[in-house]
Amino acid sequence: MFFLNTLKQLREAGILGINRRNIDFIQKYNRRKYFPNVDSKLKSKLLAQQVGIPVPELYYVIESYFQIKNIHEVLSKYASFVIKPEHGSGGKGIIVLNQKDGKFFKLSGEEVGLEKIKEHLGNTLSGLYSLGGQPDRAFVEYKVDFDPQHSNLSFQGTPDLRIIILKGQPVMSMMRLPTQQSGNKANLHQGAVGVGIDLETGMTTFAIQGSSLIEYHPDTKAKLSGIKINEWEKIITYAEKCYEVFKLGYMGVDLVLDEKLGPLLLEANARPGLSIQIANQCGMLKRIKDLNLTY
Amino acid sequence: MKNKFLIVPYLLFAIAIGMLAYRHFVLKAEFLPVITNDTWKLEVTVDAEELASNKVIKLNIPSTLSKARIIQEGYSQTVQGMTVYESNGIRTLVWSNRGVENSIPEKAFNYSVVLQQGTSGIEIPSNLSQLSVDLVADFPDYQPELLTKYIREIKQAKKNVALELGECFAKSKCLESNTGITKSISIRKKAILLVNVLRQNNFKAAIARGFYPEKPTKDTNFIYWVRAEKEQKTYNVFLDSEISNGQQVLFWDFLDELNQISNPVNMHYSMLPDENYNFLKPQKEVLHSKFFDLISLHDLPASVQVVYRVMLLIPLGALIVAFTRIIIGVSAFGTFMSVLVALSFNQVGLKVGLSLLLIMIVAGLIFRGLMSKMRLLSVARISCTLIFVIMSIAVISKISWNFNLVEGFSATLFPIIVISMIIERMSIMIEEAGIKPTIKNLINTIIMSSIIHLIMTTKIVQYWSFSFWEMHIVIMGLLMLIGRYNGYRLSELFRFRNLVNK
Repeated sequence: MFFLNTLKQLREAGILGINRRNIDFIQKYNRRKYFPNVDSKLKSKLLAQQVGIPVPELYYVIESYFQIKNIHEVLSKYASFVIKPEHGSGGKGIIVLNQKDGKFFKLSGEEVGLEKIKEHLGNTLSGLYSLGGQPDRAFVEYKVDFDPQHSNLSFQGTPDLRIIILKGQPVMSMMRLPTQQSGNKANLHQGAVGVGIDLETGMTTFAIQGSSLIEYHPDTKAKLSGIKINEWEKIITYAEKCYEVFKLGYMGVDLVLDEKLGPLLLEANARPGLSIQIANQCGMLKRIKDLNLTY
Repeated sequence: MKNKFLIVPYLLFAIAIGMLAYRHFVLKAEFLPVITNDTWKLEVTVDAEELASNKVIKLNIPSTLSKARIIQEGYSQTVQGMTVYESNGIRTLVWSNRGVENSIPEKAFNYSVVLQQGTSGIEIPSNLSQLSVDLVADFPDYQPELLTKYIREIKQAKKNVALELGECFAKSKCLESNTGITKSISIRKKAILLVNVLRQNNFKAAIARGFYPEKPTKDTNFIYWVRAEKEQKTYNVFLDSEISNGQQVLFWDFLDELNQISNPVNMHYSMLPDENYNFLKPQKEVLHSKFFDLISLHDLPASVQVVYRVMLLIPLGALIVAFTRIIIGVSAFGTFMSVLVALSFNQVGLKVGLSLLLIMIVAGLIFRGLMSKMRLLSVARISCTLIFVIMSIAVISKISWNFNLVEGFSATLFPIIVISMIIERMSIMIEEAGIKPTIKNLINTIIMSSIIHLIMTTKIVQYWSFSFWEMHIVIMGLLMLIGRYNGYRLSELFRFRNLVNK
């Protein structure tokens, strides 16, 4: 009975499951030839800039092992930076570093040796973090300083905003907050907190960690509901614009709110996860219906 | 119907069901497997590669003295020079490349025979030469006087020397106290020693070589025992407690002859229960059905059949994987990793397979952990893990051989690349996501592999996948339907349960 009852309840609540997402959304709206637009973070950056969506500044691209040898000279120019794999997924292979006197430190303050950075770059190039394990490129970019108004929402890492866009229309959104458990990453599977956001007002609604509802950030103890996200209209506008540039009918757009530069596009995802429904305490199909959208 | 192409799976079902019905109702093919232990197909292939010229190969083949009935027999050869002669009821196949000057093709010859009730029935030839074994060199601890004393005791107790010695040799303690041999020795070596001792005691004795009939084999897994004869009574002396309880083995060869021919020659044996014969027994004319000839895989050589019997189980494994992923929502390492692991379980058995897999993964993770300190690039690192896994398997095979653990040394089908990738993925996952989800994924992989293995090893599944291989059209149709399933996965009922309860 549990199965039948739950099945009925999920249907009634308009919850979107993985199979339906794959068949009725991803396969239907996302043509394979446009996947590289979002699978390559470098290409996404370039495309976004062309239509005026701001992105974190690109510092350097590492394509060959030879470039790793002299990476110290490149990295020493910046007080802080982020190293990312071009085709990474789920936050894998991303490291955020501060630099002082030629030495490198994680956000936690732990020193990271140059050899360790070189090894990380080598692993990235050989495809350890890339989708499908293909050889990859690594790039160094501007490190976002999160809007200080919301600084108590995150433990060390940078929170990001995920907006689901269906045929150019925002459907659902949430903020992902790094925690100690998630290893400072905004990855819900690793224990980051997901906070639902009301699309109209930009106010936070519910918060979850795993599949449990929570009220306060587990590390900073900040209250998570009823917070107004700054520059919300801009954020929504940029997310909507992503549809015309990436040409994917169903995608997750990830943005961050920088202290100085405002909303910046980090990346888009052609296969966005479904936990956003729990964070918003609302089924995706129900939301689509409420917004009078068709699929 | 939203998608007009969805008619395809139903068409596939119709085609397959039509073929099955035709085979069952018209060609009278049995839907249930017939017990096949009484009919066996044996093949011997001799590779000619690196075969010296002027070579003569002799091979004892089943004879008229055999209790086994020869149903079919066939030879093929690439160089003319084969003959079969019979002497004292023993048939011998002789092949020679004498006088052939051109390069010899890959296969020298192939001999195949289908036997019914083929058990230990072949007589021992009367003119066996003494084994040329230097017992002192081979068994340095051997103390003949201890054994002589023991044999005297057996004779005084009026017991059968051959059987008593066999029972004693099977137990290492008894072997040690009555021969002085302290080192663990293989069954084959025990057999060599026993044959020599029995011959010294006026027995006609020879080493026999055979197979476990219930386990179709290819190239390996011989078991050795001793056949002894005295005063017109024949004894099968098994030196392995596992096969002493009347388990049937097919009698094939004598060590003397084997030594003469096998050392310089690459000779492959393969043996299979011959379902073909039983499968079609009621309707022999079906053999001549063109349709059956076209689709039946039973006519293929036994060694090729072995490959297809394994290969044709894979689609079912793929169906199970698709079902558990799409309908249940189980996450495991790699898409088809569980199927490959299950195939290796099929080869070595579940218990041994699981132990080997876990030993290999734990050892591999430790090795991988040590290597991570060297900070190698990933391609080189994975390659090192791969070599480590291959060498571990070789070590396990060698140890198993020395201790007569049959399952262990045949672990060569273990999917080495898959295991290396599991080790690499696990190691990264432990670092990124922690030990808990990694172990969970490993447990899921093992459970899925075990379930697939258990299903694959069911007699009826094996029978259908090979004999009615048009069933794979049905599997393809089912996969197409599963591939269009857009309902909830079972795991999602739990994942979203709290959301709807609120």
